[in-house]
Amino acid sequence: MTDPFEGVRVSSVIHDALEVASTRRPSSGGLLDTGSLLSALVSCDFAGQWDRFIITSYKEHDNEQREALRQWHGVRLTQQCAQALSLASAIAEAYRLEPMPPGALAIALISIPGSNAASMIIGDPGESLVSQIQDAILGTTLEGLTDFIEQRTKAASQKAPALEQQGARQDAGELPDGSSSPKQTRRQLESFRLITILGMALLAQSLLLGQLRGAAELVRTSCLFQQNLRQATAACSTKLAHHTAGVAFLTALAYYSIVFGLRAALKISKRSVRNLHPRYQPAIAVVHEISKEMGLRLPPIVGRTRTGARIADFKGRPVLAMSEQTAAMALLDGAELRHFKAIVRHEIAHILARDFAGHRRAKALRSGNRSIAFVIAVLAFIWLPASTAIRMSIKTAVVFIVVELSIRALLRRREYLADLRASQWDPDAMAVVIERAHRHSGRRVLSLLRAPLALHPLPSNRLLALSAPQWLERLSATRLVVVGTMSGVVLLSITSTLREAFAGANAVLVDTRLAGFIAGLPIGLVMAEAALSSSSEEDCLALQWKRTMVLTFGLVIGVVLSPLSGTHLIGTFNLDATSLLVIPVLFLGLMLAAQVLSAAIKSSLVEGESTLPPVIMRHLDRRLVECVSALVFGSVLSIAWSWADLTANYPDYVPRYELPDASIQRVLGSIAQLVGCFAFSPYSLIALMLVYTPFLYWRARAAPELRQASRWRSFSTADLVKVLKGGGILVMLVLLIAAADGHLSTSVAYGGRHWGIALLYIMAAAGIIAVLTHYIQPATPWRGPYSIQTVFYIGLIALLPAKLLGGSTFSLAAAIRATVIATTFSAAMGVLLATGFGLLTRSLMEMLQVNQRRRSAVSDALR
Amino acid sequence: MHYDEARLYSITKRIIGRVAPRELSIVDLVGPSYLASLQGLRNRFTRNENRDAPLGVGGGEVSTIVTPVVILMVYKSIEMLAEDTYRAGKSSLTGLIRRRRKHHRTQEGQPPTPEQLAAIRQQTERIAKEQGISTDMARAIANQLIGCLLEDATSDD
Repeated sequence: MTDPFEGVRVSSVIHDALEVASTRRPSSGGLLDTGSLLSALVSCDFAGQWDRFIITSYKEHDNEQREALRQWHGVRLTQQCAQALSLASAIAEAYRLEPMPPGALAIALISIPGSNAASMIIGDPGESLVSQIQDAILGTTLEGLTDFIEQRTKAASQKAPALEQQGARQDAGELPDGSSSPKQTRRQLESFRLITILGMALLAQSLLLGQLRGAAELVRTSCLFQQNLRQATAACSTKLAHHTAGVAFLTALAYYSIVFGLRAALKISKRSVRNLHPRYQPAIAVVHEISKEMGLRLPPIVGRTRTGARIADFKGRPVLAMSEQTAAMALLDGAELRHFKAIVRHEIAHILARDFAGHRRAKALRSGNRSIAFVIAVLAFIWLPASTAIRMSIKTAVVFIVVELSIRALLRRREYLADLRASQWDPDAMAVVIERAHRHSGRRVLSLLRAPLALHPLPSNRLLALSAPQWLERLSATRLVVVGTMSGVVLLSITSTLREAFAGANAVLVDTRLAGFIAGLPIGLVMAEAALSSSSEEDCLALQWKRTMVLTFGLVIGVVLSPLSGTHLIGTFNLDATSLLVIPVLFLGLMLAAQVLSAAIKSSLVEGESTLPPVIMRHLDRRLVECVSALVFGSVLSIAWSWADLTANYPDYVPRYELPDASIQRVLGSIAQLVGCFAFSPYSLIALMLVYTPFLYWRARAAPELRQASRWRSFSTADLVKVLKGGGILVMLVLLIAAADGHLSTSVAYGGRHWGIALLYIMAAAGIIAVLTHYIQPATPWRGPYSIQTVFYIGLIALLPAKLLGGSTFSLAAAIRATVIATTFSAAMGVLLATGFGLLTRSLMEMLQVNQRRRSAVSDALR
Repeated sequence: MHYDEARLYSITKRIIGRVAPRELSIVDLVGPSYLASLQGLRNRFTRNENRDAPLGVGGGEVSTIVTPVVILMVYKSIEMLAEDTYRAGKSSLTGLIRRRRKHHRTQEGQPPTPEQLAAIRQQTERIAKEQGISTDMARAIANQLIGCLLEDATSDD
């Protein structure tokens, strides 16, 4: 006897229901029928809204044929039950419901003509039972499901005699026909297709880099002929370093191809989710109630953990995992129930902010850095002199620490936001929960020492933020110093001149270029976090926007105030350090692109099943935005990497930017240099933010149902117009300053130490920021981290390391001019990218909607 | 003295009724079948290690509910007594004959020895500390648990 679920992955609820139903069979060796299975499913599925239906006792109905042709794990099935399981498998396969949800089985059970289950369940008479179950149990609507079921049931009734014969043959010991499972074939095809896409993208990128590298080799050869022996030796050393970086790059390529490619294709999950015990159904009901209350469209899976409560990620879906002690709180009334609700609200606030997705990205970045750095360290010790190898190892170690601290700082920040959102309903209960959670945290001194590594803020700070939310808006001296210093150092350290200053002092082993990378990384993470997580917080969109803007302006101020030389804007940047940041981002983008492309290809190629799965449809916009943004970002970075390598290592070949010149060659050289600057500075992240925001807007316009959702109310057309106007004003003001600088440059550009002029620029920049900030966000306060004062202070602090580390020898005017033009370039690039990809996204979404409407029309006509 | 599910459930309910009476509804809801699998309990409750989990509430266990912890304590204590009986039986000829099926039996008619009670108390307080139960509550639970075990032994006699 065959198993109708052979090769099909079913959810644990279905598995439990089948087991429960098999134990409830009549003791006389009875067959499992649809009625007992439906009854067991109702008792095991706590996520579905079964209370919307009236379910009578299955003992009252028994119409099914008691001839066992198929079985499940040794349990013999009635003919109707076997048909229902086959139909459920077909539904799950057709609509890509993996693992098969309980709703699919419920629909199949009641759809089989003459089944006990169909006569047991009573729903709203005004609506079909299948659509009601889709709404209440499945949680989504599957298009054309009724037609699909009709076709399958007809086909099944025709196949029944053949099945009888096959069952008889197998009972007689004959082997079944040797055909492979279509499910397995599909999965293999999916894997092959995804890996092919990924491989082609990587190959194209490698070819592009190879071309650029080949050009560099030509220049290198000509340089070697022209330079003396000492320079040739230095070039060889550089070549070795390039080889190290190249191997590291290839290793990383293989690593990310395997990890992301296979994981995306085969949906490998490291951690399975354990179910909460069925007796804690009230806890699950509370989770569903609060999800609805807080505006979460699909309630999370409720799982079990060992301590407290947390959000986990199960194949892209959030899981609210809680301990049994926590779940037991929902079984009591009064204060305990209130506290339980506060915990659930805190966790759902994390889901609404999509923190679990951010956490997943952070983990990917962390694991990638770990593997790449290991390769770099090993290769450095093999190929390079010991001193260089030690230096590189120190670099990677420091990078680890900074990445880890940055990620933890971001997670702590998210906790404040989750607390605030959760406390909107019951602030007192939230405060009690925070106090209880930290009651075992030990001595305060130890807590303070552990604070930088902790994943949650200190309880005192959390309570303070709850009682006075404006505390989060405070002017934190630490944040000012850290952000300002890093802004200054990141820009200074990418100049090769500063390296000489350190070499002269002979006191620091760590290369100054590393400092630039270290400084840039947390800023980049903050920017990326602000840009990528702003899509889901209905009332935090404005907050995210403001945060992004203030960091952007803080950085711009840092750029403006840093005494960079226009001729050394790029400097040399180690490929190994670059690869730590560039490659993970690049591969993350490729992975997401491959996922979306694969979904699109599958939907268009699979015959007769061209409907995109509803889950993918629901998340397509988000995935598309993320993948396109990351892909563009990674590609720009990698291309600019090669250009910057050329301009940095072969300055004679690529002209440097000094002053605007009529010479075409110089203009081209300047553009190349600015591209490099764009790649190696957080400008690219600014551009990412600029790309992302219009994406959100266009997506909202393309999907009216999303525009009606509350999270889009805070971002209207007027806001977009303001943003665009603000961007235009920024460009014009920057150009005006550049023009004014043309008059001043002849007198002060190379004179240095003209503090009066520098002050003039600072004031001009502050004025621009003030105008822009208040034009775009009229509610921007004059105090707090998003205020003009803060931005100004950050800039001033950024100036300090610049002056301390040799800034006095540079021309402020030239630096300002170069950075202003770079900013303009970045902004223009961002606007162009936003426009282009926004149009692309809108077109794609419209195309999908048209296809959907067409399919609906066809299915209506058929009906 | 044989500790079947019903008796374990009865002990748990008695302890909860004395140390946390408002949680009796939880015990009723959980029911005896919940107590059927000691391995399941082991999986559910382990050392409170990863307190500062990402995207959690922070810190350790938030709940002050003691019912699940009491269930664990009762089971661990019974298991300890059964282990002692098993070792004692293993050393004798009778034990060699019986040892296959004696995991859940204590020595019939004999109350737990003072050493066993001390060990139970120590274990109870350790579990309480791991699960974030206060010291006073842990002591109260240990006292009740020991009292119930002695009471059971007396009633069997």
